[in-house]
Amino acid sequence: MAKGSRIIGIDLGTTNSCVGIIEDGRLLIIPNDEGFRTTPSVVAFTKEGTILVGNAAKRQQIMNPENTVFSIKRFMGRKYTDKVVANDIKLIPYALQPADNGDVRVGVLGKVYSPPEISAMTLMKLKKDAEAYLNESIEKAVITVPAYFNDSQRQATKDAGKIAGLEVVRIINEPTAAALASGFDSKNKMKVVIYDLGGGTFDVSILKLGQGIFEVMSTSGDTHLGGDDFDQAVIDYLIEDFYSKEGIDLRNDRVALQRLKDAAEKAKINLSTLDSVEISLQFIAVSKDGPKHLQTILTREQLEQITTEIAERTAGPCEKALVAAGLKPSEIDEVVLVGGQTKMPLVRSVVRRIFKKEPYTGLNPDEAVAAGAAHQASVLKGDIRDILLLDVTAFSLGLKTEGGIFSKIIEKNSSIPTRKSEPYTTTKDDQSFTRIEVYQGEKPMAADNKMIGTFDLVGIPPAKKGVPKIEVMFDIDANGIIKVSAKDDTTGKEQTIKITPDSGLSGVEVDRMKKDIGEEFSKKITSGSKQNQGQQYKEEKSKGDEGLPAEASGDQKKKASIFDIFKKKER
Amino acid sequence: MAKKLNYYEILEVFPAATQDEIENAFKNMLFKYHPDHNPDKPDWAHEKTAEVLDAHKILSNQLRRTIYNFMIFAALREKPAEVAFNFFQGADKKKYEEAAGILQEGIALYDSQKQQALIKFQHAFATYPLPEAVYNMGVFYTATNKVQEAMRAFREAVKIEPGNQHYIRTVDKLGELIREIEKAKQMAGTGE
Ligand SMILES: Nc1ncnc2c1ncn2[C@@H]1O[C@H](COP(=O)(O)OP(=O)(O)OP(=O)(O)O)[C@@H](O)[C@H]1O
Ligand SMILES: [Mg+2]
Repeated sequence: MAKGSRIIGIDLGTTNSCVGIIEDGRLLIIPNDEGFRTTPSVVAFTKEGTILVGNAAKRQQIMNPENTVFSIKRFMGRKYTDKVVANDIKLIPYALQPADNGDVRVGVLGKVYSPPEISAMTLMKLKKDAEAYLNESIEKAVITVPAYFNDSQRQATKDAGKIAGLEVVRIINEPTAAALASGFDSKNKMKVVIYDLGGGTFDVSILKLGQGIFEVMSTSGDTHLGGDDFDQAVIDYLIEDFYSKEGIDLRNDRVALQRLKDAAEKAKINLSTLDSVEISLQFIAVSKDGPKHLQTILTREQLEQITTEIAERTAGPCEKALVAAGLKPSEIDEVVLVGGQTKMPLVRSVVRRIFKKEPYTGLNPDEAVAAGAAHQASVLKGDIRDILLLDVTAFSLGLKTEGGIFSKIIEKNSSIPTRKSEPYTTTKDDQSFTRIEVYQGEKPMAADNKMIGTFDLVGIPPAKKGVPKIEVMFDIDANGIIKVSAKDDTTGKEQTIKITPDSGLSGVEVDRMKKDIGEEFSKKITSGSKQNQGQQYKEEKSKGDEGLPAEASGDQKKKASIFDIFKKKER
Repeated sequence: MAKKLNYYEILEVFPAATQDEIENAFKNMLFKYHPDHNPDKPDWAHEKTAEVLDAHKILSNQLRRTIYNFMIFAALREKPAEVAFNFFQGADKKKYEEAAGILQEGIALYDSQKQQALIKFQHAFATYPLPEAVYNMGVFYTATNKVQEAMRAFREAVKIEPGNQHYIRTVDKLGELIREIEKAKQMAGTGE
């Protein structure tokens, strides 16, 4: 394969990923090796030691729930003790555990993986498929992240890229990417809201467009609010319903949970166009009196009732973004919907209410973000010269000061890249070291915010207190990633800083993972190419069947693996 | 260290530039410096763009620009050349020299430790009523957003040295600024 210089744009989604590139000035969404324009962000490890990624992994998910990792994005750059993680542990069928530094790790088949490694496997699959399609090696990518991703989450995404053998030339925010792809003529001045509700995250950004500049005025969101939560509400409803009818709690059965998740999502998606659906999960449980089936009808009205609270949770961030931009809904020209979950009519009516306007649905919600990433890749390559993205940081950056108080240095919604410098000196004679603790967040006490790391200024030359003058620079680069550096103001020399990040992988770890995963992946990945894909599928199906409860009869096995779990109701 | 450019110099516009001129300059500078358009020199691009964004943030807003203009105008003052005061005799002269020394210490501290600098200015003023000391207190209060305190300090400087045109103009300009800030507050208060 020829060595290429192309830069691809990747939307690394919670549930689906998508790859785009600008070729000869035109957008091309690169299909995967099965011909689909999006690829499920799902990685599965089979007991035979193969790794499946994408559609192949998703297809065998029901049969192999413990070893099928999905929605890994929810755990990128997070601590095991995070409230949101604690919540998710109960809901996901694969195992999570803490790393030495407290970060989340995934345990599958006796091996431990960091979230960036799992993401890297999805990225490697995307990279491989793109290379096959373009017939050229790909070394560089622009990867999108939710605007509301903090420094650790961005860093983790960058690491995932590195592990996958990709140089991440830029991380851009998903809503901003969508704006780039919106095709709104940026020669005209306008103000646009991007409302992006995907599988796992919600982002809202307000942009000012004009003269080629896409300037983000404000951003807000929730990194733990998305389609998954709608599914969970349906699952909870089904579990309750089943419990009241049969007296059996399905919560402790991982296989049942996975089947429920699948059925709940399908029902939800179909209720975006239908008024009611039938959910039918045969042999979902076994009791003394024999097998039990879950059979029920869900109407759109019922779905809306049980998910209204979730859809309404997007209102708060929207209002915050409006206030931060200093705008009233009437001053917004367009509200653009992005993300699969915005196809739900309930979500659209919530948007309509918040912004008092009919939302713009002209963008393909599944591909817009990748399209924007592709545009940005083209800008970075130097092919597009008349477009410029000016994003903001979603969080305030500050230091822990006396009494644990958080003292802000960079306010949230400040344009990036940005640099703020703070003068430092000593408070004791011959003091050689001083410590700076950096946090991101809005709470008045530092400990209530997200710790980024500890920065120790070491080797300060001996002097009377107050004499050393050290200028400490706090940078947030165009990727939204923080850098702290210092220089001795009297000599102009770089001041040494010992950096202890609070989370994330070290450079050494990333290199090792790149090597390990690279080898493991190339050996064990089974190609999902069209010829042998059916074969693979069959194999997985029969394998997965062994995972069914021992009580299941042959007849049950067949039913459980049939994908007509849910049928449209005849009316 | 190279002298820091002021915001007008960064955007390469005249201090009297119109808001349109400032916006145009900003857009041009962004395209010139932004890291996306300078992938081969990311550090340089970062630094330049950060400067341009800072400058634009202040100069793009009329009120912020007025405040900034005032702060350029009301910069720290050093003590006047000693020759002008050689009529001093004995104890007075000693006090004056002591105060001048403390004032210098305050000026040296101002960039890195503002609060310490203020204490020095106060100390200097208590030692000998140097108009520069009380004027610099005003500069400190302006920078820390205490405009009423700043006004009191600048007025005191005028009282001590009534013939100083710079002090008189500082008081006038600050008066105008306070009125503008009040007006902006009222507008925000009425929701407009
Ligand atoms: N027609 C539909 N009606 C309702 N929901 C839908 C529909 N189609 C897809 N979804 C939901 O959209 C979500 C996936 O959206 P999308 O692919 O935009 O997310 P993502 O990009 O993977 O996630 P994120 O942007 O949060 O990282 C899933 O929860 C899916 O169930
Ligand atoms: Mg998305």
